[in-house]
Amino acid sequence: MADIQDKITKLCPQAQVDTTGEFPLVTVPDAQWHDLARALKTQLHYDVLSAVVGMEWPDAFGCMYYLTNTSTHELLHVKVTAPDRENPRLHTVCDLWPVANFQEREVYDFYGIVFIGHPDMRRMFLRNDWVGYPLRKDYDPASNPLRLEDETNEDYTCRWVEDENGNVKKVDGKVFEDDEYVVNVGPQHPSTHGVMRYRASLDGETVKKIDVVSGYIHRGIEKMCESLTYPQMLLYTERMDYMAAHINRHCMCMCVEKALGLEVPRRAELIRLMMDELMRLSSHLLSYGCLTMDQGATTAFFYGFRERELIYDIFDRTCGARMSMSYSTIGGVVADVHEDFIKDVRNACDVIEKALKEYHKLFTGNVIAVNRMTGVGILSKEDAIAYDITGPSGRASGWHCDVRKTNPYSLYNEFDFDEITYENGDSMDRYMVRMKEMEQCIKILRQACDKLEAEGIQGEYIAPKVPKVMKLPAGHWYQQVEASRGAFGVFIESDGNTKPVRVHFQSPCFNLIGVVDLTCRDNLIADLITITASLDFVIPDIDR
Amino acid sequence: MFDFGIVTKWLDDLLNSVMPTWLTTTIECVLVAVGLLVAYSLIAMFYIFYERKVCGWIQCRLGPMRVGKWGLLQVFADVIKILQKELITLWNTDKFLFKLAPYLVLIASMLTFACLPWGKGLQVIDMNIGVFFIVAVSSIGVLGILLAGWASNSKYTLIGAMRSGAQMISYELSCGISILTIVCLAGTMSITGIVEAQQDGWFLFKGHLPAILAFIIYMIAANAENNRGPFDLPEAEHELTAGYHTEYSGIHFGFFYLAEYLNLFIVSGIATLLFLGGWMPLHIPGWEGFNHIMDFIPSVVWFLGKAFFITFIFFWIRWSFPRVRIDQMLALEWRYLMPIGLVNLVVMAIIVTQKWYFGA
Amino acid sequence: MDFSIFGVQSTTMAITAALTGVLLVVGALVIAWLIGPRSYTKKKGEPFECGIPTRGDSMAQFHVGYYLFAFRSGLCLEERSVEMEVKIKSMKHEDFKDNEYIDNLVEQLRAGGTNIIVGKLDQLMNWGVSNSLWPLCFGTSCCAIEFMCLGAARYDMARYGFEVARNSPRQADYIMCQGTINYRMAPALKRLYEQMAEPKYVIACGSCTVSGGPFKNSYCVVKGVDEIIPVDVYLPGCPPRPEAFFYALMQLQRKIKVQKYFGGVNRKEKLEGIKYDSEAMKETK
Repeated sequence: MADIQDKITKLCPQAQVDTTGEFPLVTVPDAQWHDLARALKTQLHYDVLSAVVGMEWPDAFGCMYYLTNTSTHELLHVKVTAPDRENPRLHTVCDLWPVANFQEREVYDFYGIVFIGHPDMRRMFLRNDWVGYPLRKDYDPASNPLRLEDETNEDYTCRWVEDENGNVKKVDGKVFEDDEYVVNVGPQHPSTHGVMRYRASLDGETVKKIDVVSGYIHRGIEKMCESLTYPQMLLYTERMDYMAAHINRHCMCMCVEKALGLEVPRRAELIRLMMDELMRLSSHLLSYGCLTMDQGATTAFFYGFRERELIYDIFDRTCGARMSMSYSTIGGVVADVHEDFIKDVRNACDVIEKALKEYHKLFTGNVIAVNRMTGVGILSKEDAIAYDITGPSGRASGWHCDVRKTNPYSLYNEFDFDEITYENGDSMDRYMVRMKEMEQCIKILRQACDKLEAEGIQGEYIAPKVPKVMKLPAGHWYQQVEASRGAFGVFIESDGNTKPVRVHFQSPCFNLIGVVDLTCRDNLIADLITITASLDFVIPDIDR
Repeated sequence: MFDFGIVTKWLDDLLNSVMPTWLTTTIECVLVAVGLLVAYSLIAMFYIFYERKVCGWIQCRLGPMRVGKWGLLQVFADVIKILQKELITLWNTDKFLFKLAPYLVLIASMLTFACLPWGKGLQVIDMNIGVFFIVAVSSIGVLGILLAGWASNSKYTLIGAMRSGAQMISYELSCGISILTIVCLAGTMSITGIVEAQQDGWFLFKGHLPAILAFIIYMIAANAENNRGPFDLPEAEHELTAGYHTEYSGIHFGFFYLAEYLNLFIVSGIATLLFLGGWMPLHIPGWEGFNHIMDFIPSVVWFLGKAFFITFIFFWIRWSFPRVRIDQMLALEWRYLMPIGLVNLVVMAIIVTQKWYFGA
Repeated sequence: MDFSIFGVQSTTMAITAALTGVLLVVGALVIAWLIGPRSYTKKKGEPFECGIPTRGDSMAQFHVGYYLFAFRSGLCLEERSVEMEVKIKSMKHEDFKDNEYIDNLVEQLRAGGTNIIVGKLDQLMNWGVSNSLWPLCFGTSCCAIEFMCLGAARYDMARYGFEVARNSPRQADYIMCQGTINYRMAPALKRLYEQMAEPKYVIACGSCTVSGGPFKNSYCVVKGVDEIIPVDVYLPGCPPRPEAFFYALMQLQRKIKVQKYFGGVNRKEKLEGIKYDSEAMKETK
């Protein structure tokens, strides 16, 4: 870490580098931030921006940026503060990392920090007539009662430009021209997998431009977490990406355990890992079913769900619930596995392995399916990295981004499995990555069953000394896992109390909607459905 | 084989003996109208139930089970429910065209329904240009769909209508060509003529290769004509929510729903007529005993059985394949089906003139 | 000239067939016009575009005349009270948990007795409606996945006849609100509800729609969907199991079965600010 410190101080003398934490933390004032960002990207090869976290400190507003180096997989944290607390402004970095486009809109929405140079400075999740900025500490919930009128003036946008003298001016703009034929797809639409809304400008059947409007399931989870204790906030991790419920909860537990210095017993880690893989399997089966159903092959949906019921039965018997299982807890898991757990898992693996062959026969080889998905919605590897598309969608473009391989956590080091990547980055590849990953999940589960059987059926499932009152020491912690749809991250900043100062969830699906416009332009409406189905996002994960 | 012509002639003579001709004709027309209405409604209801059960069977589930024994009364409940739903009046629609659309769809449907070869002596409309009449009339239905989409004043419906216009007009050509191929083999356009010509063997077997090719082309084109199966773009639920009939509610929507299933039956009926012998029983040349037994099954049962079998194939295709995209669909028609169909027609013409078919 | 069945000319038969088609349409429309309910709101008449008002105009505007129609039964044969128990196939009356509610409802509605013909017609209509409830595809969050499991092969709501999930609110019978409704989604939900054809029902599915659920303390979540639309059945759970979904649907069926269809309108609540008469039309452009 010391050489990073040297390099950065050489690039930017005003930056301070703190190497005491898990990752280096660079603090830099806003005036030097854009230049340092460009240097970090081009010279030090930090080419992925994982998250932009808006922050309110007692003295200033600002952001935390999380950068990753794709060749060494090292992380870097940068803290940038806005000079003026009354009108906080920062310079945008979306010209360097396009993923920052939506991320900075989210920060503007929640904190009111204006990003100079951002092409489309609109709110992201809240109504465009919302008053105030909810994540500020002085926000008054009564300032925004329930309004039943539709939103107006949806084509309005603006940008803030800076001239040579440093004066900042607001320039109005329009999202769509008046003569464009704009169709609403969603929020109530069977193929958007939830309440996503696209405003698509059409020319006959061809899509010219898509404006993604999200926030229809925004529930203010991050704000709510600031008034809850750490065990209380675990339940929200399962209600964001409910198809990666267990994995997300696992991530949060790991982050808190890291902060508290708790050691989880090996058996609990193994059980958590098995639940993770079962969850991943059920999520990919659902994405298979929904993708085929969106293309019109409804029967495949029923076949996929038939196998998912086996996994749900396992969850039911062990965790007590089919979906939001609430099984991991800080220190381990809540209860031990049921006595037939290993037999059930082995049986599910056998059945699903045979079923996968049937799925390929039914859909993958079908000439219509091949023609509809091959070459449609190509996402190049450079775009995948620029937009931080992790997960199966990123791996389909050729980017090796599986967190289980790059920054292994839990017991993944001990397992033998492959990271599936393809080259073309079209919808067919994204589909095939998921199908092959299911086979890898089965491989991991079989190895885990053998290990669990060898190490004993009953045993320790929770750490012996879990504190009743959890106070994380002052500081910030970050943990990333490989969720079903990409890299999910939890960021916690604490000031030593039982409740955190800031919690941020880095959601993989949020980055996926950033490429919808990129991949869907000049394709047909039917392709829009195919592409969004193959990107496979879950909307509550986007909106949080 | 029992000839229903005996019954109809007896009734006709009976009525003629007691009343003037014009009154007899009127009463007979009323009888036919009632018969058509009853048959139309019953077959539509049966088809809705048939599809739900077949679809359930393919998807490893049961389908309707609770309403009546094995769910047999399910469609009656659906009909009652849909009759009592509100008919929503919309703003800014072209009111006349909006109301006209279901009429066009149903008239086209009913006219082609009446042309089918129900049984021996049960031919309701028997023109000497019968098949040509069917093709002509079925294109009125296209107009109905276009009007429905246009008049609803909604973007989704408009896109659905444009898609369906392009689709149906394209595939009518292929339909027509494959029908022409069989007319070539039969030598007549009259429906009873075509059925009678299959007395010694169904055209599918008689015409061997070109007939089989025509059958395959017809199945694909008819599927597309009906907006079903891989070709259901105009009402693609997963893209356009409900396509051209999004804004219709209650029985207004029910008409489109009904007509879709009936058109499926009609298309199956025409396939039966052209390729599987209409109401002709299965006769294997040389097996007189077998042929004699086949003759005992009434002609209506033969016709319906064959039509239901072809419909089963349509269901099977629909519930297995994904949907094609508009450009792929048009490419399929103009680049593949049409040229193959034309070549097939020429081959059939050669075969007919050289008498190279079975039973020549 | 060609002669068809009965020796009648083919052209005559063709004309008959065409007129039959017209008769079918006209007859069905007359029945629907006679017995169907009517209500009018501004949003109901607007084009459906997934719950959002459409951008831009496509045609010129003109007025649509419309009026309420009240059907009164003139027949007054002997009066008798209808049986109190509402039957659901293969589930006994005592297995339901809230029989007091439904029995009270039945008492109130049948207070004056009802004449035989209207009563029997009521039963027929209610049987038809309760056995053919088509949901609107509306899922915002986790509960929607359990609804998909409900439609899938193991639980198979098609057995009840409910699998025809329509995407257009004009053709759906009930909205099963699955998942949290937040302040941004609320106008869209209200618009979708108003665009549905009467008679329509609402099932609030999952704790989020019943009361806000785990997100009660949020700054942007509606605390229960009954703040916006009237709810017929509340189904708690997070998410509710598919068996609970079936229970809620059977409760809705029970509620529909006691409806007085011809004898009067069952629904006690009216939406605020909605005018169910010609006053509403004068206000709109």
